[in-house]
Amino acid sequence: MIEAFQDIINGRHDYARSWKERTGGKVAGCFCTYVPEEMLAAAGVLPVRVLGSLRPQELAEAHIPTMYCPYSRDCLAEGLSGTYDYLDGVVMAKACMHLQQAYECWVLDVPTGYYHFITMPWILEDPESRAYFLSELLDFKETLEAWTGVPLTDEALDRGIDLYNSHRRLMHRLYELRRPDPPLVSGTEAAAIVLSSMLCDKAEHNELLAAAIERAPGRPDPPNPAPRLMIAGGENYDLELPLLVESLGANVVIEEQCMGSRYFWNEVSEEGDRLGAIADRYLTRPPCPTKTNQQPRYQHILDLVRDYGVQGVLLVQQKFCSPHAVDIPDLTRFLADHGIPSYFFELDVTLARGQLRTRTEAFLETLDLELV
Amino acid sequence: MAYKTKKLESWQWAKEIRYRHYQKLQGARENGIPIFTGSGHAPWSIISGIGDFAALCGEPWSASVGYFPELAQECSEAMEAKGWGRDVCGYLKQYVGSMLIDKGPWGPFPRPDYIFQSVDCDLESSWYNMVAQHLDIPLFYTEILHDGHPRTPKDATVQYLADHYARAVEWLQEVTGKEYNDQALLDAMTLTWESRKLWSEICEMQKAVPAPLDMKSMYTLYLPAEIEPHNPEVVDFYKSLRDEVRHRVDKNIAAVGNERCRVLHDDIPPWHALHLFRLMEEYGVVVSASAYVFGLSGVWEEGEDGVYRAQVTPPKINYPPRTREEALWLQAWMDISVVRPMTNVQSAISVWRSLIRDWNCQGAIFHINRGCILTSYGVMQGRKALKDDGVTTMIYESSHVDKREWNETEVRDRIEAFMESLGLKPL
Ligand code: SF4
Ligand code: SF4
Repeated sequence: MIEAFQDIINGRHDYARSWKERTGGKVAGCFCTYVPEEMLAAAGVLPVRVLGSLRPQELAEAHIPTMYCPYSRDCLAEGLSGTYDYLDGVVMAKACMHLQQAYECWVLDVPTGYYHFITMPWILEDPESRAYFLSELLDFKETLEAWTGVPLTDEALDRGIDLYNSHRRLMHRLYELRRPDPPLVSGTEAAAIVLSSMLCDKAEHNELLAAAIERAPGRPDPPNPAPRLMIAGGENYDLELPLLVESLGANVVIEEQCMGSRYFWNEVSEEGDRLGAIADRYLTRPPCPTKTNQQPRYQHILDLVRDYGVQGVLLVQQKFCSPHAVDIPDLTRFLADHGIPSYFFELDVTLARGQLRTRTEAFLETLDLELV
Repeated sequence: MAYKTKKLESWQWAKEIRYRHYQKLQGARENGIPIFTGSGHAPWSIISGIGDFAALCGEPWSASVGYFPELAQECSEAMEAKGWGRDVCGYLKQYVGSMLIDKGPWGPFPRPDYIFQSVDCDLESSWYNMVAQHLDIPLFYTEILHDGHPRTPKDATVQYLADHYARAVEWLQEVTGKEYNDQALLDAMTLTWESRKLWSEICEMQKAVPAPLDMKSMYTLYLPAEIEPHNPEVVDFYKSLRDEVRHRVDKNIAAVGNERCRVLHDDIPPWHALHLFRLMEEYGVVVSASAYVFGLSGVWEEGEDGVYRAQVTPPKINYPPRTREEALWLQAWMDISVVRPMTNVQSAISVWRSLIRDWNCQGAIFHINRGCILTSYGVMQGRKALKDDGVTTMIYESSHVDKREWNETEVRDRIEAFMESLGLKPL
């Protein structure tokens, strides 16, 4: 069901190179899911999420202290090693300081041509925040136009918005297939689909996605009934994680992560001022833990638990990830207060499979007891 | 050559200001004075508009906790018991831990009434969310955005903060029920600017050889401008300190009599291990510059020529400020400038280059502070830039507050190797 999506992930650099050749367009590396990719698409640019190699490396050591998260260091290392030499630009939306530093070091030491930093506020709901973020989007629009030579008219922006909204709607249709028990789409499959969507042309992804959604109900190999888990927390793009968890007799039915549902959850309104609508989408999407007000996120997690019939939560955090490290103890208590059991697992560049196996098995055992 | 040295006369005054600050804080409840809390460099002047108040300044409070190893340990353990471990900011743990166990260095934790916080790091909102939830007290957030612009902030970024401050004024009136006095704000703002400008002038005098002040003393001297910049006594203190430092420069009075080499140290030091500065003095090395110490309490301009210099007058507005809007804009500009070198790698590099060149330093020591992501930001890239310039550099890792991260033998070895690469032997 997911070979085509996995091929995109595994061959992501070749994909981007051939996309450039095919279309003559530019490719921009994005450092965070707060980058308004629809604007890049509207300018004919292919946005791709910058990822690490998931292999131990030392290249970033001279640039970023080891107390910063391995993901941010891994991303920079990929830039320094030349893996991303095909990028024509990079765009950052201020996320956590870990990733911000990786981006800033990239600007200094990885020649890429176009660099743009969008200041995404930590405070999302104040009237000043919207005005400021909108001014940031205006700046972005200007530099993007200058870089690509494409005027970002309302029509152009609408094309980008339509493309991304169609994708978001399709993703929701896919995620609907995770709600039955057993789900029709496994967590590993969903993870591959979301991740691949961050790495390829959305129009192509929409086609693959629509076909996958069509095929899913009649598939010969649906997931088996099993305890239903959510994965919540920090970055993860190692598909081994859901794969291993599911191999131990669980179904990952939903996730609350940036490389997961947070990426596509809400749409840009088709009404009103185009940049304003884009700003609103990013200000109201399920927030990440760096934002000042976590109540909407916690409520969103509860809604997901209810809607997806979640029985337990796997909380993940990249080693040294300070925003999630501060959040996870509170989130654990919050979940416990709502009767939802959870367990924690720390991620590093490479997955500690043995530990994950032991923890998951132990958790699933306690979950079994509770369910009995 | 040995220089004359002399005890710093203003030293005692700095300690008295600090003492009175904490005395006021500890007695505030009894004396009916409202207590506000926020990070060390929260915009205290703005609160002055509602009258007298006591400030529980986040990071300085945590640093004070850190001076009492047993208390610090208890605070860390209280936090760790609740799940906040290694990857959580050290200052956050000391402050929130102190709140949880209701203990501080001088008595119970001084329970604040209000939180007024300018977020400038990923963790600060979590920090004060914990406080607001635990104590159930009102909270107002503003934010000091990192806008990716080296050298100067975007106007929109300053205006954004100033607009938040304008709403904060309304909030202050609402939660305290007091009428806001604009004149008090203007006076406090003018005093704040003066204290910080004086501190920058003092830091500029560190260019002199021999250095008139050593960094260990500067760690105490910068504090009044951080925690009470709007206090008239603080302005008087800095005037007196400036005159004393100027006299020392004129008369070649050194902080370290055997000065023969100068280095910069950034960022926050391990507060529990300041003896490492004395160790360097045994080699005739004086730590004469620090972007953290200079920047945190000063007002600086990153010149187009790459020179870091004391800002003489505020940019873009009248000085002294004549309206609430001007005062709030000035506060916003200062707040953003303070953290700029800590939140922008290019700015940090440019400032460090200037400190090496213009403050006559021959080497640089960087502390990778596992306890604070903000002050470790850009440190490796900065070290790399200085190394590329041919500057001798050293790094060591520990935490500014958590003694468990300290490895005395390793740091000593590193310092000795660093001294060797500077061609220095103990005197
Ligand atoms: S894993 Fe955490 S620290 Fe790393 S980039 Fe994501 S939020 Fe930032
Ligand atoms: S990490 Fe540093 S800047 Fe951030 S809250 Fe902690 S002490 Fe403050």
